[in-house]
Amino acid sequence: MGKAGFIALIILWLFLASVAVFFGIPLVWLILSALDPNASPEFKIPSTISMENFIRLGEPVSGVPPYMWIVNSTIISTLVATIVTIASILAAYVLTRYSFKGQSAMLTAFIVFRLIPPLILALPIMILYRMWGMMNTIHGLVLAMSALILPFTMMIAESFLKSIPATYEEAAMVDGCTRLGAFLKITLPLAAPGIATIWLLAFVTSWSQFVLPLMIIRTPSLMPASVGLQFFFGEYGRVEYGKLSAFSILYSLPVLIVFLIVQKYLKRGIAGLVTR
Amino acid sequence: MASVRLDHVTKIFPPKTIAVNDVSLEIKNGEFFILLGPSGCGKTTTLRMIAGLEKPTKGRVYIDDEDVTDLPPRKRDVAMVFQTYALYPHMKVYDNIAFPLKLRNMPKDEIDRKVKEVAKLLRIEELLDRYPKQLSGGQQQRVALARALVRHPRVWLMDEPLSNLDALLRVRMRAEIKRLQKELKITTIYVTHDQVEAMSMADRIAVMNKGRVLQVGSPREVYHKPKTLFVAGFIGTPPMNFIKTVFTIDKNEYVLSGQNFKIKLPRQLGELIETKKGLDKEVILGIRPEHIEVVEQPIEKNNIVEAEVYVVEPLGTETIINIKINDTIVKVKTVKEILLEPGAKIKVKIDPNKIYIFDPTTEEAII
Repeated sequence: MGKAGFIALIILWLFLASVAVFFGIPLVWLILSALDPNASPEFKIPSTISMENFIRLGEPVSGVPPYMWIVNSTIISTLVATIVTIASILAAYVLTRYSFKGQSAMLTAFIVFRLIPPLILALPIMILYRMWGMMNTIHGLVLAMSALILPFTMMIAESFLKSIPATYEEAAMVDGCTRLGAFLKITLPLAAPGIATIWLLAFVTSWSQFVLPLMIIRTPSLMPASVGLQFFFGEYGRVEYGKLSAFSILYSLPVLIVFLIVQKYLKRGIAGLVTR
Repeated sequence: MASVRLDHVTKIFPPKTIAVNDVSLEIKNGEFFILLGPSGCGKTTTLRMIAGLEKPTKGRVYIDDEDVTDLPPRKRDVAMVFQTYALYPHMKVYDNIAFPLKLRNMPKDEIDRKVKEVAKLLRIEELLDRYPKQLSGGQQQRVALARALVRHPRVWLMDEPLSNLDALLRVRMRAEIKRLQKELKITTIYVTHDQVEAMSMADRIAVMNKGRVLQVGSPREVYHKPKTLFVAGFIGTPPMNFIKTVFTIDKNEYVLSGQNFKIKLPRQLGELIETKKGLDKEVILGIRPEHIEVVEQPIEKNNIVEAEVYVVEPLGTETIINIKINDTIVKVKTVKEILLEPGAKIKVKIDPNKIYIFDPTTEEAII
């Protein structure tokens, strides 16, 4: 290796190291604060390490134990993911197996819907929900979030089902299945990786939603974790950094786990989306 | 076993693609019936309408005189082998074959017996524990045949089942499918674009083009008595040659006259053409490559055509010589060992007893 090459390598290493530090330090900071019973808003190595902050998340903040918000998030995201998955697969089945007037217009519409920022929809949704008495309800939130995520997941479902030849279903129908039977026994098992991808994508997306839950849910005991987080910033600027850090870790853990499980399928699903 | 009847069946795909145009066919009990035609001729759509995978726009489909037009595929008791085999990828070979039986709620031990029986028949017993993707093309084909046979369907439908196999295997499976069909005596409707396949396997062939059935008959019939220019040109390897001529009388004899040749016709034949078409009319002369002979020293002057060698294709036992008669390329099949260079002038003899005459406007055979 020449001298120039050596210098280039050092510069590259310095660059990569600074990127690693830039993204890594906050994470390390967060973990250290979570384990420090006397956490404060400064970067320091804790003198004693304990799980006290995690345990204290059981104590109520604003009248609700913070664990409750994680439970709420889990319930909401599971419902959203399930609704969205079923609706996406069924819609995609019709779009890929039948042809009808206005089909391509419909697909284009889905792409356009996907591009609308949720904030623009938030106000009309609030007004409608006030009329319908759906403000401050879990089902109202679940419905609104499902509608928001659906266009995206439906397009993934469409590209996935398109890659499964209709011949399998036809063979099953000749073999003795009804149309529904062929779908349930043949297409659904073949689409399993796609279904898993859609479910988990929808779960993660709804897990990290902030604006909609903030506007729809008012009662602290019904809030998901993304909104509940704000109560750690107490009155008079008092912040419980230790508990906040512990809660943040708990909040990001499910998403991290989900991502690790699906990244393989995710690539396939997204690749299918790109090549369509 | 069953008979199948199509009664004026038409299929139009929206907005206005006419895939099948007024097709009427009768397939007899136990018959091996082949739908033959180029791609896009409507043969697969016809088969899919018999299977129930497409609904005819007009016309009715009968199986054993029962009107099945409005029945879904599962109620027709037909089995189908798809071009891509369509083996369920998530099931093992055993489960693939057992699938149609399980849907009929057959007891487990009976399913087991039947699957093993058909596996033995098709010699795939050792493959039962594998997944479709672990099989070769030929093995997948056998499994697809087994799945179609296991429940003894009334009608066996096959959509180009051999087209994904290599040439050698195709010839072997051709014989095997024919043997199976004869052994089990299942009414079979088979779709192919390969006329050799059709000639070698079928009891009867329906030649299709542009959504219509042009001719139905035994392989011998469609080969020796083609009703149209298309059928004549489609069947036979290499295909029949067509040369533009004028039918006229020369020195009191009927002749087909080309740019620089004359073919004398027997009187009987000439009279027939005259009554059917009239004198001094343009007609298309059809002649199969094996009925043109290269002559080195012509004894007579009649029926001799001068030509130029265009290209020579030696095929081992036989040779195909492409010659140019005026501007038309004509193929000549010969078993003689002839050494010819492109550009050489040769003389060929056309046997007037082996010719076909077609009307250039209707494209129908005159004789």
